[in-house]
Amino acid sequence: MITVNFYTTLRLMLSTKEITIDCKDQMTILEVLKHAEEIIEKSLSKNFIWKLLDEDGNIKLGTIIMINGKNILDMDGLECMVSPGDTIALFPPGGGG
Amino acid sequence: MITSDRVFSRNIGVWDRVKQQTLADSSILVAGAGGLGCFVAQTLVRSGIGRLYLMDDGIVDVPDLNRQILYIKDDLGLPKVTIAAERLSAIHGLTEIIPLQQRLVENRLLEINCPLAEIKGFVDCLDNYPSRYLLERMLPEKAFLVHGGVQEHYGQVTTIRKDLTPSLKSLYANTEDSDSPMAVCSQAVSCVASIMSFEVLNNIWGKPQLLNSLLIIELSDFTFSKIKLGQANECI
Repeated sequence: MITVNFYTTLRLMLSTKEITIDCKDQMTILEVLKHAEEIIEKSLSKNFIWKLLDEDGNIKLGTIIMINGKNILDMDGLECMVSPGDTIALFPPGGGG
Repeated sequence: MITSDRVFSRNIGVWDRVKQQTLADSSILVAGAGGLGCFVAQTLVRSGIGRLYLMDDGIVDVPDLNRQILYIKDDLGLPKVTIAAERLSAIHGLTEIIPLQQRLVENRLLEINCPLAEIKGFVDCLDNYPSRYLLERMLPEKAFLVHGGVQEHYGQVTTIRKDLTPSLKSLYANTEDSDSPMAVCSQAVSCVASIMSFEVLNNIWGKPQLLNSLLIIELSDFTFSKIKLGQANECI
C-alpha cells in the first residue's frame, strides 16, 4: 500500500487529507499520481494532477512532491520509484517572508 | 522601574530563570524585515534575546501595511531596518538591536557588521529562494537556521542544521519564485512567525522540535501537519 497525503491548497481543493493505493510492486511516482488521480476522479469527480504538472508533463513551479520526506526533484524526478509502504506528500510551499 | 526581572517575570513563569538568562546571552540574526521578520523580531525581543541583528535592504511600501506589524503609514518610503530598530528598541531597551541595511550577498560583507562566530542561529524570514539558499550557505557549523515561508493562508517551518538535517536546498530542490506578487494574509504570517520564534527559543535551549521534520500550517481549517524529512543526500 502507498499513502498519498495532500496538504494546504490541494487538500482544500479535494476535501481529502489522504488516499491509499493498493499495490504489491514498485511503480514510478508518475504512475502513483495517475492512480491517485483515478481514485479521486471516481470518488469525488475531481482532478488534481493539473495543479502539479504543466501541459508538457513537467513539475510546475512551486510544487513539492516528496517520497518519504525527500523531494523527487532532488532525486530522479517523476521517474523515481515508489515501493509499497512509502508515503507521498504533495503541497505547494509558502514562498513569502 | 524597568528591570530584566520585572519585564521577563511572566516569561520566567513559563520557562525558568536559567533559560531566560540563556536567551539574554544569545545573539540571533533575523534575515528579512518583512511580515515574518517583523513578528519574529518583536517576539524575540519580548522573549528577552540579548542581541538581535536585523537585516533587510528594503523600504516600507504600501502593500506591506497589511501584515508587517512594526510599520505604519508614516513610515512609507523609509528604510525598514531603521524603523524596525527604533520600534524594537522602544519595547523595553534590554535587547541590543543592530540594524543591517544591506542585501544578503556574501559572507564577508555580512561579517563586517555581524560577527558570525557569536551568532547562535539564523532566522530565515526572507521572501525568495535564492536568498534563502545563500543564507543557508553562510550558516556556521553547529549554528541553527529556523526556516519559515508563508503564502495565502498557509506556511511551513523547519529547523536546519548543517550536520544534522537535509539542506534547505535539497528540501526545495531549487524551487524558484513566482513572478507575480504573492497573496498573503496577516493571520497566516503571525501564526507561522510565532512558531518560528518559539522554535528559535527551542534551538537556543538545545531542544529543537522541528529537526528533520517540516511543520505545515493551514489556517483555512486549522490543520497542523508534520512531515518527517528524509536524510540529507546533497552537500551545500
